[in-house]
Amino acid sequence: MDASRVRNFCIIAHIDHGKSTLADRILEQTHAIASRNMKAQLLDSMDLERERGITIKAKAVRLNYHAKDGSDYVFNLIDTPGHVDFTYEVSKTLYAAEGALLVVDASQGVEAQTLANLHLALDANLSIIPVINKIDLPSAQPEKAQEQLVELGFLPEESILASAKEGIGIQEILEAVIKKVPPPKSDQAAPLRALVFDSVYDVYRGVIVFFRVKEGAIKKGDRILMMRTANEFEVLEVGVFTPEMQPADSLSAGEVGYLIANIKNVSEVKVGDTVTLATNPAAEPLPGYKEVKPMVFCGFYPVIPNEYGILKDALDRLKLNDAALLFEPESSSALGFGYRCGFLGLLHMEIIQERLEREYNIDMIATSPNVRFRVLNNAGEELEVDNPAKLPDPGSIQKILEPFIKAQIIMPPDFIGPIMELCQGKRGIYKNTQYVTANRVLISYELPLSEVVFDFYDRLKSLSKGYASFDYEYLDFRESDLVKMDILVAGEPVDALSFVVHKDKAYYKGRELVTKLREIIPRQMFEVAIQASIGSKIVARETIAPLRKNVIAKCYGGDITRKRKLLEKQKEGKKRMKKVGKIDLPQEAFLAILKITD
Amino acid sequence: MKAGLYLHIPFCAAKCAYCSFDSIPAEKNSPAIRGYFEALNREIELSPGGEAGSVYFGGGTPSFAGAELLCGTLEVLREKYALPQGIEITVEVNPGTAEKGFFGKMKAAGVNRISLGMQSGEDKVLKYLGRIHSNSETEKCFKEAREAGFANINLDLMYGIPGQSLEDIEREAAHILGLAPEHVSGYCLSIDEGTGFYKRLKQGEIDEVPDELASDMYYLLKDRFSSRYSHYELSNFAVPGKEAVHNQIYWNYNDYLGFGAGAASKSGPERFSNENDPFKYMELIKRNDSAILFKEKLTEETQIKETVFLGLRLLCGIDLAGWKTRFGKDFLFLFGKQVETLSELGLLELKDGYLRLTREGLFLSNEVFVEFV
Repeated sequence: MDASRVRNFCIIAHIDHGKSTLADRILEQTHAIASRNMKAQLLDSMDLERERGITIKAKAVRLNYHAKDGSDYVFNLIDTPGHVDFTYEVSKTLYAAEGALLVVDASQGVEAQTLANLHLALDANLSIIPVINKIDLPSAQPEKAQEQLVELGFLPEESILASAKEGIGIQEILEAVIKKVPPPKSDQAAPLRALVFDSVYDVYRGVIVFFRVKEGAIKKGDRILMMRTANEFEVLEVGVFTPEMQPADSLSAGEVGYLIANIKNVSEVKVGDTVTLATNPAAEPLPGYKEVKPMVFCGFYPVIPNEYGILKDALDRLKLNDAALLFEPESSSALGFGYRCGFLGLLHMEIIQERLEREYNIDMIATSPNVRFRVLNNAGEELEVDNPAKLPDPGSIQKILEPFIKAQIIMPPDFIGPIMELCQGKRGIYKNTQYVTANRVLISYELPLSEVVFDFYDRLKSLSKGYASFDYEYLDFRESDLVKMDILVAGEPVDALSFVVHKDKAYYKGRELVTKLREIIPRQMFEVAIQASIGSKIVARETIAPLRKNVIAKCYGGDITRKRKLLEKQKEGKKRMKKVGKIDLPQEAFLAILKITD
Repeated sequence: MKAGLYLHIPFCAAKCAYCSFDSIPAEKNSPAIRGYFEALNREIELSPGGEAGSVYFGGGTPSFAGAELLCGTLEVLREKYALPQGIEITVEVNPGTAEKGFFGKMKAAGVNRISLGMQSGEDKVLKYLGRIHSNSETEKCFKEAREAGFANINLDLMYGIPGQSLEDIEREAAHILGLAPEHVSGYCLSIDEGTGFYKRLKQGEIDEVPDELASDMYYLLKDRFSSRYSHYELSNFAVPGKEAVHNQIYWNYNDYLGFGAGAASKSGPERFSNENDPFKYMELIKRNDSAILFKEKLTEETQIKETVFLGLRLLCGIDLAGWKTRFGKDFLFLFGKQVETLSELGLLELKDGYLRLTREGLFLSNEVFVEFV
């Protein structure tokens, strides 16, 4: 294929700024699909993704475009994941392209992820085409968005005004792609080097690997080597999505496509890895590969113990399509057998939890999320602990380190006060303030991740009335003065309720949590004490009075079906609770810690 | 099998603040009420007929419809069903709704039991509940019924009303013992969605009575009434021999036929119930000769569940030998584990072949029932 007629580009945006709708419109305009066959947001294949309005897995589509200059071009449109948890995946996707459409909502303007994504795109040396979307909305202020883009270094005339929903500006965008996005460099003689930027699992075909050929060429029958993992496979098929799967004879430098090679599990294919030929390998893999490590952890336990096997099968199946999901069996004295799972971030965790409950219909208890701590013990050994219950005895700990992140928050200046207060309260270290425009301020903080997993997003949203946006990246592990707080219910420690907290906040959090638990845990047949302790020292106590009333006093008439249904409903409620010792604990009890404000 | 016959009269003079039933305020002697009775009578005429074990006019407020309509329906009933001499025929009456001569006419028509919606002996509580009557009207009504020759009268008492104290309940108990009815039903107020109280609760204007206090009230009534009555069902007290025949049909899981809006029936392994809305009910009877909207085939499993939570409402409990005869299964074989756990918790007891709630289990009965559904 003539590389000068190829354009590889992706779309980057803050969440909900209309990335997927724009992708749909481009597909429609290039006749990849007839508009009557369009299902809104076609690239998001899962219902759940469509509902949440976000895209989890990037996919690439090849489009044919007949340009105004009379020539035919081949476009490879690469859709990127749209959330902070997937920064690494986004960055790899960007390396597969030469250009990016930077979509900005005309009424929201530049947000934290707009900036974060823009910086990633600039790092990847992409040509950027700014697009101001949703100009059809009554609240649209395209001039303001344009001003902000100018301050980011774009020329005023560069921004394209568009409404993906109404189909406005699409033609202009496609023409701009031809003019502004350079064609890929095409070194076909060099040994094969192709960048893996995504993979999906298909029940019938196995793993489908998405890649960008940087140098050389790849064809069916090639024996390939994944340079980072050293796995070898035989290529059964290469091709492109149009958006239907279309096998090709070969794909060469500059092209984007997929390969199938009898790969059983997405974990065998790492995003960022380099594909080369086993028979004629490249000297060096492509730069920038990183092992993705989970940052947030929680325990999943089936409510009904014998659903443990079902939970395992479900996790195995999710894992087929999600290399970032980690899990290993663990047992809790309170909750029995379950899994400790690791996620890229909070959103990733929520998605997995929801899919387990919705798609696999598993009633489960999720424990509150926590980060991975590094513990240096007196023997001088370094341990990694991803479950607060497993933190060693305080006497044996020399120091504890916890992960820190660099947080960037963009908001109107009115909210600086409360947001800074929030960050200080979360043990944040202030770095700087920067005016993006006269009414958009960017503040940077270094924050312990453990504080962000506890109620940070929600507070940020409510304090800023939804106007603040947030992005973060990982920094390093730092020493902190942390203690483990245990919770005892009816005198018995419930390991799944243990949490790690900074010493200065320990008493307050302990007290608040037992108060919350007193409200959440239903009355039992006997009095129940709830205590918080650090080591053997009790720091807070509440008592749940015994149950005194549970009766349908009036039993008029013969409508017994209704009474039975009422009782059946009560029973369902009971079944959803986890019996810990003799106490029924509802799911909310395990997440109560998240509801405590600083 | 003799069925209990239930006739539902959904009209009331006014809606009470706690009421979540499909009762509707109406004008006395209005065409709506007459139309409703026409439909009700038609439904009875179209029913299979047979022998009745009891008759019960409930509501709403049956007395609000007046003696003439009630007697008329009783006539229709007699044409279709054999009402053996002496079977219990109850009419619910709300004080302040019975016209002059009402009780005499009822008595003459064969009614032998009156259930009086007293609710409270205190005027301020009656007003708070949104009742249309005062205590003196209740007492007058009670006296009229007695004078008309009714020797079987029930009084409904409500407790657990916001603001009520234990002393208030003590007075209510003494008041009832002074009136000396044959039967008392004591109901704890529950604030249900869609009621006036519910709205006020949500707006923070009123607070529910704490569970501890409600429980203390319940057991206080139980103890006070024990001087004269036998506590034979969770919420019911009777002079021995005057236990409500009709209500026992429900608890003993026998058959009953319900007529009127929202009325439910059980016939062998089938249960069915009518449209709730009185006007839609009339329309359906007129159009289809039937207003049945819901039908349920009671599987053996369902029947087993229901006999447990209904049977345990009776203080004598479930006769396990009788239960075995009914289902051909051994109760303890099926539910041994539940019985053991609940006995350990002190909620259930097994004695002389009967399984029953303990004293402590009465006000926590749902804790027991849910283990069997």
